[in-house]
Amino acid sequence: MGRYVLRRLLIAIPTLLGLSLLIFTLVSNAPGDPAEELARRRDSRNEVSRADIERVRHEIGLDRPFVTQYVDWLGGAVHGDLGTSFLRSTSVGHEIGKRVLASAQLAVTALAAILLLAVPLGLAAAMYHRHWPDHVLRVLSLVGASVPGFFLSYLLIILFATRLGLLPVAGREELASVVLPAMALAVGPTAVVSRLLRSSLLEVISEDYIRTARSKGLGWLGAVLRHGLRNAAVPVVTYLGTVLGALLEGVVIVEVIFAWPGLGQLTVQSISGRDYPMIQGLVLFAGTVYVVMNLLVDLSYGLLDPRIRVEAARST
Amino acid sequence: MSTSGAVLLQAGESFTVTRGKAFRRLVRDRTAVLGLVIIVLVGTACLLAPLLAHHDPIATDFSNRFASPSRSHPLGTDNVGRDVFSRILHGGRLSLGMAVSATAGITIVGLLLGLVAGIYGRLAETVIMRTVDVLLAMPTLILALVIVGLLGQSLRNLVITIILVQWPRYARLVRGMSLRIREQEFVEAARAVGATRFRIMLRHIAPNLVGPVVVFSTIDMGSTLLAVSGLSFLGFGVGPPTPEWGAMLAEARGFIGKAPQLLAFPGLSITLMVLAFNLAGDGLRDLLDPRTVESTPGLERGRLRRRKAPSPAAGAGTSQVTGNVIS
Repeated sequence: MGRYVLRRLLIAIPTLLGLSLLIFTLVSNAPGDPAEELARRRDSRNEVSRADIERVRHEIGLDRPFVTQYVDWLGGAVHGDLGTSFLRSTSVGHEIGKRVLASAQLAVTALAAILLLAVPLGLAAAMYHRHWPDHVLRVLSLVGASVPGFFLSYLLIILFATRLGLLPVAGREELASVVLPAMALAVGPTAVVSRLLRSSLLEVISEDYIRTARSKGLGWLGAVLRHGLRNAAVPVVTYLGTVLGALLEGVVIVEVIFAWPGLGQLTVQSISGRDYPMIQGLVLFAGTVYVVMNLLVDLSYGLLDPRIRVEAARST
Repeated sequence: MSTSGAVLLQAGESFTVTRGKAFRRLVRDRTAVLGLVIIVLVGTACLLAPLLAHHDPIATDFSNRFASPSRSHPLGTDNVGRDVFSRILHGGRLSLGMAVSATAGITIVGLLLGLVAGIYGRLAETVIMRTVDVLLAMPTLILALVIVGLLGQSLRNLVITIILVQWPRYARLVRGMSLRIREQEFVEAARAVGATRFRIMLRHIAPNLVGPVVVFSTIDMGSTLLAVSGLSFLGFGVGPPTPEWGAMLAEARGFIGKAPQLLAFPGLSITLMVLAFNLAGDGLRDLLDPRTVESTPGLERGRLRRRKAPSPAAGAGTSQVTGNVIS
């Protein structure tokens, strides 16, 4: 187990290095001159001479060879120093640290909502297989999986904030502010996860051990909850990796719409403002989070199903 | 997830076997047919936009702003008096056009690079597959956002970006399948009569892959449309006044209190098309899934009567395929 984790982490290192090189290359070759932009931003009169631009270029180190820049940046990144933002004159690491909690709060709330909604819905659909609750849930999940997050966000704003006035429209001032963006994030994955759990449960129900449990006198729900759910959970947990990826992506659009002061909003602002150090830092951070999350998801299969744990150990 | 290819592999093989019956089974799947009908209807309407919509999609009329639906304007007018019906149809040409061309690009690039990696091996394989690893180490939409942001706002850049971030999944799939096909007898026979590696790749292996890959890219159409309109919504697609569904939705958010219908029409259009692609894609996926081959057509899907315990590979594969619905 420990060796498997170590191996996976070691494999992740060259991948993340490649990612950082890719993004560094992209940023360096992007159209537009960051030195000129920065010089203009500093000079409110908007009259920047060539000398000003060159001075700024030297100051932020853009006149050095590409390889030197990359190695310097990487050396800093290893020590947790991701450079200084062009836009905000704070360090990139500091800004990410300041906002990571807001994004995490949103993502965790959404994930909790997904699990809290999808498990009972999937159970209900399997329990009432081919009866009306199953059909209703089927239609709802089809629509839920198809509606774009940015459209859904505005539907939620119109219904719960503008019309009913129950929840705040945007911002992160109150605790209730998290509800609407988290709902906007949760609907799509909930739709898919509940369907997955349903079909997984339907498979498990026909297994011998469920028949044994039923014959011992357990009711349908009791047998499924005690013996079925854990077995049915394996394909669902496999899908959680995709859900977490979808949450990371969804957070970007949803944070912009709800003015949520997290990393997604920062990403879009940095891209629009061509804040190159910030973009590089955010990509490296997102890549690291993604790799670690996928590792955690892979490890969790073993907790649910010992057969997988054995196979993983054999293959390493 | 290296195991995820396993089920797709089997699926690809069963596709070639059951292709004859495939169409009949698809037609009997009512929801899949519904999806196909919606795609054809909306697609045709968008293609024929200049004939169906009598108003210029970008002609403003300030004396007739926020008009309610009427005979002349079936969906009313927007904040500067442009005909919404016309904008939806013309917008669909761009939105769906981008989704289709991105899908075509992803398929071609993924197929080519996956084949080269699978057939030539060695350095080519190392370079391609390590690039795949790197590109898959990021959530695709975030990477797309960064790339399109750096390339600059335009339709072409948006499509290029989607292709850049999506081909790795296809390349990985194609490489896996071509590794399997490479070991089959007819390839050995071709090698025995002296066919070059290039010829084997093109004439013997590629034709066996095109079918499954095209089907998978069709299944992905819904999520590609979501990605395209999402990036466009964030302002990385077309600029005003060009109509495009994501951009129209972004424009309408300023009038959310005054005219929520302006938000609803492009939003519903995207939802409807993604739904249609998902329905049709679900039908196609069922055709490919070897486990449903035996099941009676027309019965509800998802009722899989497998007696065997799910292997981890099968579980991962299922999730990967289902994942396309929203990711």
